[in-house]
Amino acid sequence: MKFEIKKLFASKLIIICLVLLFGFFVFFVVNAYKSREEVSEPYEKLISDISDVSDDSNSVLALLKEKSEQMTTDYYLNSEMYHSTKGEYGSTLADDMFLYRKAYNDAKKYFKTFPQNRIRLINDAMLTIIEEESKENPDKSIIALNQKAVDKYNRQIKMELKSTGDLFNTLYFFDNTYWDYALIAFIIMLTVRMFTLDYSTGAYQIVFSTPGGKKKLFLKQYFTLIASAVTIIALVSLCQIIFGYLFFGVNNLSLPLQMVEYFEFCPFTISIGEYYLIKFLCKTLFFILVITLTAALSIIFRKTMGAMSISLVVFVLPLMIITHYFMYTTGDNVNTISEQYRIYKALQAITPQGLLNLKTYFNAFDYLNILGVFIPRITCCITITVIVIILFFTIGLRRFAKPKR
Amino acid sequence: MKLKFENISKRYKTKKALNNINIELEEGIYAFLGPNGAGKSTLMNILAGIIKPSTGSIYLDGQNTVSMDKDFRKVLGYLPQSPGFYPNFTGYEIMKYFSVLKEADHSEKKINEMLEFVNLYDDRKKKYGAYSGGMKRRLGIAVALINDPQILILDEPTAGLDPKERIRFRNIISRISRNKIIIYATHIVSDVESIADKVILLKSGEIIEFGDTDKVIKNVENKIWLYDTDVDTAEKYTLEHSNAVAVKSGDIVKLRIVSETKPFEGAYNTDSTLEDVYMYYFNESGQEKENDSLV
Ligand SMILES: Nc1ncnc2c1ncn2[C@@H]1O[C@H](COP(=O)(O)OP(=O)(O)O)[C@@H](O)[C@H]1O
Ligand SMILES: [Mg+2]
Repeated sequence: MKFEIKKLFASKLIIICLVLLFGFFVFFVVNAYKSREEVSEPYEKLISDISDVSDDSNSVLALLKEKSEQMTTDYYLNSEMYHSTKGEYGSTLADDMFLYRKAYNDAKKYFKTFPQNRIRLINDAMLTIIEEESKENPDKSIIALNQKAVDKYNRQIKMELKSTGDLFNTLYFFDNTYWDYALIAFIIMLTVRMFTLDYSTGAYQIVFSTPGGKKKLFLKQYFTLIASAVTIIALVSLCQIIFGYLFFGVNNLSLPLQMVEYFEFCPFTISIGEYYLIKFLCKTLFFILVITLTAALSIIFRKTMGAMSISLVVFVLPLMIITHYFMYTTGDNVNTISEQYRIYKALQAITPQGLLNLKTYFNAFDYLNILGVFIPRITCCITITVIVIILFFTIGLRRFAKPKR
Repeated sequence: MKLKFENISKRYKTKKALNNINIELEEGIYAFLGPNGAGKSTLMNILAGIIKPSTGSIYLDGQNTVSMDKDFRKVLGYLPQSPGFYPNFTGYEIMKYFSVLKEADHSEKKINEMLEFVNLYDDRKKKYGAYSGGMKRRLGIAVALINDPQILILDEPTAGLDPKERIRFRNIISRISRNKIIIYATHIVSDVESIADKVILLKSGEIIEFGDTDKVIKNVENKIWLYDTDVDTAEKYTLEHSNAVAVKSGDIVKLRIVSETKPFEGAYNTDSTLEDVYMYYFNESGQEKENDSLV
């Protein structure tokens, strides 16, 4: 594979693009750095002390409630003293009071609000079931879907009083569309180069008349590309984890994803770390698709420009469309029954580009009813992506170095 | 070893590039002679499996080369008409990569030996992109030879070589030719004249002559005429007749004319060469068998 790597990267243009890509990435890191939120060490210490005192969420809540209410009352009576006395965690007692109040609010969120919200979802679903069953012609699929929701949410999520950091911003700064566009363009360029270099240099007649095995050569070139793409994606993902930790305090990867407010209603039992992993795998899968389809096009066209332009259109255009509709799913006036929202969800189920913006698969109960079987929307998208990959892999492999008619 | 072409035809969209080629080759050096567009490269590419013939098959010792697949390519060395390699690889790296692809001995010793053989050893660490035309060509030859092929296809291999390199190359080919089928496609007669065992003449996609070199030369024996004249007459005649060349020897000019019969009084027969054979068959204006008179 050493020679294939050299074939791929021994070019000034590719190196320049690689440097540009890196510069682009640094730009995002700088942006993230500018919006960083320092981890509050006193607060971390406070909640870890509280957790040491008790494992039980109710007693933690009671303790924090008592402490913060008591301190608030004291504060109004004796504010002078609160500002002048050194605190246990913060620099003054007043700081301590705010820390306790924050801890109480967080504990309430984790131990009360979130579970209650989930119970409300379950109740709503059960109500819908009862309502539907009482109709003359009950819609079985509605009943089944709501039953599925009940099953999914009727689980204990182990919440802890720990800070999750700002996962949302970590995702926001490192999973943005601009970066995806740049990476798509770069990977397409690499793939086209790999599979048309023999034609553009005139080496193909010699290469294809060697016994080395056309399948073997195809696979070597293909997996060199995949290895390169995976390396880039892995490095970026690793940076995301590191900078998420440094800039946004995302340091407890084993906490359940549901502790992050945005993912409160995530129906899957996964941790923040597992979410990172799934995100990495989905990105990788998407870029394997980019490589596979571009390779097949390059093999068919044998021309750099043709394959490159078609591939760019095939991957960038749907991403632009899906990103356009994504706008309707964020912000304050999200309307889940609006036409745009429905289009977005439909696109998310069938276009592999959906895999680049993973969070919207994980923030709500999102199952599709396919012939009576409920599968998560993301599973549907992954399945389609895998099928397309297999299809174009087969086409590429069969057409590679085939004698011209 | 027998290499048999059976009913090979190749049709590009509108153009018929090869028409029903039937020929059997054994060990030896074969000169595939024909003007540009005769179909030589097409036939070489079909043999190497790069393009598919419209009809027909090629057999090596009775086995279809397409179904032999890898086994056939193992014994093959191919130097295409306009080969190229990766500009950012050094000569050594190209040799290494292709000997791996060819499943040949890719030890440093062997590669250096091959580079030495084509006189590129001192430039082995230079990038291919910085090679001169002749160096590129010689590297192509080294790549074609690295697996010690039983069947060697050379498509216009001397294009871009200077006269010294041509001679060198000719010597290389005759040195390695033992027990090999060497197919040497060219339109430059002097390249193959002294080394070809057999000659195949290809014209508009058809084989018009095939045989031992000396026999083919002998066939046109009585059709080559010389005529001693002055510069002006010779110039005028060669301008008007494509079947003649003027050869200057001292003060007089010898007109060398290819003609079925005596072209005019005073012309006398001479020994034929492969060059004459080429002139006889490929006289571009198509008037090769006309009986011209000196005006
Ligand atoms: N890819 C192609 N498409 C159409 N015509 C072609 C193609 N390749 C070669 N030809 C035609 O086939 C004929 C034979 O070409 P070629 O085999 O290159 O001849 P040679 O090598 O003897 O010069 C020429 O007339 C050429 O124009
Ligand atoms: Mg040719």
